[in-house]
Amino acid sequence: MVNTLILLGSLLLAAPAGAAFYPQPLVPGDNPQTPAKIALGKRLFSETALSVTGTYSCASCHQPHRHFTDGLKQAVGATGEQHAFNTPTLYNVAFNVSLGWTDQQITSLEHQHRVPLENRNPVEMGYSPTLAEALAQQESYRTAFAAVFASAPSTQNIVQAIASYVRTLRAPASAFDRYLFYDQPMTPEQHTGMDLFFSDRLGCATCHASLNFSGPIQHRTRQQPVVPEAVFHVTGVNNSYQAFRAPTLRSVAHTAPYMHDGSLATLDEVLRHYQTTQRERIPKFRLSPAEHRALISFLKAL
Amino acid sequence: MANFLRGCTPSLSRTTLAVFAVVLGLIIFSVYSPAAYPAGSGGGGGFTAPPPARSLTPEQQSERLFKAGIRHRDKALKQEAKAAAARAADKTKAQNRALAKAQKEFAKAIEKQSEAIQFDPQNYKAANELGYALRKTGDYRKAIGAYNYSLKINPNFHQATEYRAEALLALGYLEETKGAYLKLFRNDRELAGQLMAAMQAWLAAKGKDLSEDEAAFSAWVEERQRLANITTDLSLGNTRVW
Repeated sequence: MVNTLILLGSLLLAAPAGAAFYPQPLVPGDNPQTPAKIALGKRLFSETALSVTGTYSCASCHQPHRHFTDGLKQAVGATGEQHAFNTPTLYNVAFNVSLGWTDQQITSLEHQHRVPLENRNPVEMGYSPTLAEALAQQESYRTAFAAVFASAPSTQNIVQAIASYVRTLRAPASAFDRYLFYDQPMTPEQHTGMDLFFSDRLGCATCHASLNFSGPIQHRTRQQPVVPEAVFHVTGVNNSYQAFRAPTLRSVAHTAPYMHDGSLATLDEVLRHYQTTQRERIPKFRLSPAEHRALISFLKAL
Repeated sequence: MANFLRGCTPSLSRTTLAVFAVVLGLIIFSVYSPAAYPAGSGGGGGFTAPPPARSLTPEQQSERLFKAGIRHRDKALKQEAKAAAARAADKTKAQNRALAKAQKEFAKAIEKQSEAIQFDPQNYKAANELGYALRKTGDYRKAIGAYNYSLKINPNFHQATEYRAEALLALGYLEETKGAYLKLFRNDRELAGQLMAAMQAWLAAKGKDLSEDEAAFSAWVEERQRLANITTDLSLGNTRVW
């Protein structure tokens, strides 16, 4: 009976989205979440008619079956232009206080989604408002937009619908979650890796913090609001001195390649990089082979 | 004892909990029949004087009694604070006097909350407060029954889970307390934090002379505190102006 319950619990935990143990994210007052809007946003997320070539959608880079990444070093836009940055996963982005790799001023998904739609340097989607008008020619979209927004498709409500959908994306429950929330043990190696991850010696959790293993995120308790602190740091990868937002490590085993430019192909390479880089805020440390394996094992448990 | 244990084990069946709720309900109804407090007209031919709050619905009467019970609870807590201050000042008589007053207020709270449940058997908050007052008078077993009743009506009323866990802890049911902590940790980090503080205080009061089970529990509590610290909750409200 107990085993059956544990199995049932594991199956429930394996649900890809909306894991119950994540708190409710912030939602802008002018764009409340509704099931119909989320469904419309999910459809628009894969809508190629929103790209200049008619062949590209949000899901071309943020591929759901690849944990909302694309497996490429750097993203490639609708017209074939290469982006400077790697495609980050969209898991748990609802909890980020700023979005994108470098821009601290983008603080809402509604704002952020205009970037891939409208960016011209390089072209990502190559969207223009005439494409919204084209969308309005399709009866099913006319009906859906009328039901959700009581208006025809427009850039603003397209962005609002997509943001509502993206706000629902959660990392799948992991071995770490099962340990954290259900006291189901991790392996001894994973446990050792966790101890290393959260140790002052390595300092990983300084940037990849909290339940989302990410920075920046916002922390707040009911009694004591805490102003979120953005965590941007210089990774030193490829001798870059630019500061990047620390991305989530949730499902990190499935989101290779790594770093802002996708230049490191494996988690092994990432750990080697952090043992050799000489950058501010990154402690100098050396891992024994066993520690290296343990840390990788823990990262894969996220 | 074994039956009682089963009744307050969170991981066991809803049926067992339901039995507890029914038993609590039967006790309640054996004292106060809902038929004695009809809603609406009196009916019949003879005149009978209406009860003072006749115009109120049973739910409204229940709410009024619930609030009265809360007032007694708050008075009791004030007396407990006085007792603590007196103890700090080595004033034993004043401490005992305040504690006695607190117990009286808790007894009144029990009375009010019991009545509140008679008027509205769905009043899970009253059942929770009944459990709280019972616990504060040292009747942990009846307190757990009241919490079970509250949670049977509203399984998502996490305050009752936290209070119930403190009663279980006081009785030494460590595995059940752990289960309650995990449930709270998944659903309400703030209440989980309250239970964590209660578990730590319980261990501190035990001192260093721990049994094998208690030592394992102590290690578990330490690990859970660490996990809570390193996985701070995410947003729980609006810290941003949009």
